[in-house]
Amino acid sequence: MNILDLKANQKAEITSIKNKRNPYVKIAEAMGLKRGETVRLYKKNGRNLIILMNGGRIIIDQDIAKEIEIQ
Amino acid sequence: MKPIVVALAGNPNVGKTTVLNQIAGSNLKVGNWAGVTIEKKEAFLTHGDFELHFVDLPGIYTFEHITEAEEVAVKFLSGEEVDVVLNIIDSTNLTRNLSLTTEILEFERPTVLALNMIDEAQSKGIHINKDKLKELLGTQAVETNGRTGSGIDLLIDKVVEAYSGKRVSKAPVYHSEIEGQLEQIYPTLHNPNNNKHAAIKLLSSEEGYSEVKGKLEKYFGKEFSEIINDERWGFANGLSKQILKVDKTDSRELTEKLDSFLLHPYLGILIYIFLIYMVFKISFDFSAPYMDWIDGFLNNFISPVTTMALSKVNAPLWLMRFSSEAVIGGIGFVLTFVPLIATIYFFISILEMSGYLPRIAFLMDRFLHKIGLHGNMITPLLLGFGCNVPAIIATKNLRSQSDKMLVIMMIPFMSCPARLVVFAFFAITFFDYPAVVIAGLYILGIVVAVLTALLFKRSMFKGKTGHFVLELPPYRMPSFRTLFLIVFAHVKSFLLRAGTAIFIVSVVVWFLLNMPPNQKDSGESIAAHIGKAITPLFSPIGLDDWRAPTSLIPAFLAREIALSTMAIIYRATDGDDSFAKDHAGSYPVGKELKKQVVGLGTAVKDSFISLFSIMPQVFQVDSAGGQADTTRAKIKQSFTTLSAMSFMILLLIYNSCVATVSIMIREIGRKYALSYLAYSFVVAWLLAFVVFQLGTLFT
Repeated sequence: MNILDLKANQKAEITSIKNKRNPYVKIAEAMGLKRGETVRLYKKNGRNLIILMNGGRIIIDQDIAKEIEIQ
Repeated sequence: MKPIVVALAGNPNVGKTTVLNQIAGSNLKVGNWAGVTIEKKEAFLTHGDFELHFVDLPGIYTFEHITEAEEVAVKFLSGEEVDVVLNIIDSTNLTRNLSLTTEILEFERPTVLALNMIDEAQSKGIHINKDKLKELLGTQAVETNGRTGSGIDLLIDKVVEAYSGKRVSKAPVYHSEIEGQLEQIYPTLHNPNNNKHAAIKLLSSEEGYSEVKGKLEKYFGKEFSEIINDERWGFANGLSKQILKVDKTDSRELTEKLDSFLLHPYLGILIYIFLIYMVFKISFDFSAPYMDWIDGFLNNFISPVTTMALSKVNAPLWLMRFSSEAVIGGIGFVLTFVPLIATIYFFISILEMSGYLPRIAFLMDRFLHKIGLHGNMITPLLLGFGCNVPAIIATKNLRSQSDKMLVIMMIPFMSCPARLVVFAFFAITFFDYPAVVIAGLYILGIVVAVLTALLFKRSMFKGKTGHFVLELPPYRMPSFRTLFLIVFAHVKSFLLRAGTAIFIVSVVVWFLLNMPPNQKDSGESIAAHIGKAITPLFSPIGLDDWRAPTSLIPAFLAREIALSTMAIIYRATDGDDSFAKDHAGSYPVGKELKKQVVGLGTAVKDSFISLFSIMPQVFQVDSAGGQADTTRAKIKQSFTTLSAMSFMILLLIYNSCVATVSIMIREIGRKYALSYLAYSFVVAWLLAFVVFQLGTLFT
């Protein structure tokens, strides 16, 4: 299961991040999307998702979302 | 004076620029980092016996090479010239910010931490034990509020103290296995790169040390980059746990409430359209009266006064014309842009500093992505309809250089009001439905812009604009002091860089139009000779009368000048005599000065009143009567409907505007800007050719 499977306002914990060589995945990680962090899906719009975590908000597109495994 | 070079480092949206503005006031200088299009801000400050040179590094989340921003930051911090690193931290998002701090500490430089936005953090119940932080890291730490300037004086003192004491901060300590391997690498490093970051970079680089790296990867069971990232994150997390205390956890009420409207898929777009319309309308309508006044003041007051002074010392006529038309005219042309650039920069900075700009990208990406573009690109493109120059400046908010290049190459096809002046004249003169023709030209410009973007995306910038990762900062009220200082810095930069180029081109064009001296009419000028020489190039697109191509030469200054030049060439007036007649006798300086003061008052009044009108006045075209009617009749004899259409297409697509080309040179470099100029001419010519030749077949 990955972040893309979340429904609005649903919470989950990041279990792993795939394709870490992708520069955009690296940016997402540097923004705080790390294994063990709890995230909440705030909104989807087109190909993009807004993720809430640690008081911050991050937009990622669905291709990046697919790389972030959750439970 | 002892110089201290201070590098400002931090995540995006942490208030680095605001802190820098508080430190430096109006001594802020903007430009680009060498070889890239990333904005560079610098400031100078004298403090006691020291001269502090602050260099603002690009906002980044990590020093790992992802885009050019990280590369620029690493290169600068690794260099010898940095004395102190000033790390700006968003106190409301401490853990993530400390992740970058961890990497900064690896550089083992004297470091000062600015716990910025401390007021906001405290209101959210966030408490940071700064004494513990200082003790753990061996750095200085100061609580600051960039908006009010609180803590800034102390911050400067601590920067000087860190430099004077040469107290290098403690490098983070990672897992003993990693530390053990790094110890082996240190002796092989050369000064000044003998620091932990350089050692880790060397290990990551896959040059040699594969055995060391392999050992670590085997021990931890993951790739080396992952090991290091996890260690850094772990260090930042551990540090955060020791110094951070949070009373309340959910304090995002305002941002969440605003986002429920502003990020709504339909309502959000309507609000955005309204806001961008207001930015567009206010910027252009508010600045237009000042632009007119500056133009009038220089050409109708300064110019005659200078001419009068020169005639009193019996200066030759050509010198009077040169000073009046080339020098003052050229400077005037540059200065007329100042109100527009200032107002548009003011609004763009508000959108950026308030946190709204990334929201626009989120909303618009849904549509732009379908045609292979990006949500971030929409605002500069829309501004292009007002004026290409500030639109290109507004691309500074695009993170990736390839995105920035793509948008800059699209902007000149967005038809600005200068082109509308020419379109209106030709459309009214030659077509039964001028509004349809003008609308068609606007659409043609958009189509060419999109096709250009697709062409470059599939060739030079292949597959580089796909993904979307962006932080949404909380909404914040921008500091007006910072806003004004940023506007001032950008206007100064425009005048120094683009302004110089525009002025030089103005002088060159004047010489082309007025040399050799004592010519009987403009048909004998160098410009006319060039026009006649290039006419064969324009014949296939229907412009076989040398006067039309000749008008394109001065039109390079500004497209609307094509019309006034045509009027001069077609009427073939005796330029020297008319100038001499116009400037004969004494000039009533006092009376005219009074008129200019009244004119300034009217400009202030008009700009204020324009704020209350609903429709943008910038698109209103004055009905060309009198002299224009004479020109119209003469031009009508020289053009056909098809050649008029061809001329309009040429003027729409060809990037014929020295201000735009100058700003492009500044943003993307001479090579790309001039290549693009040639590209736009070829596309313009080909389109005009197709339209003219197909039209000829059917008429």
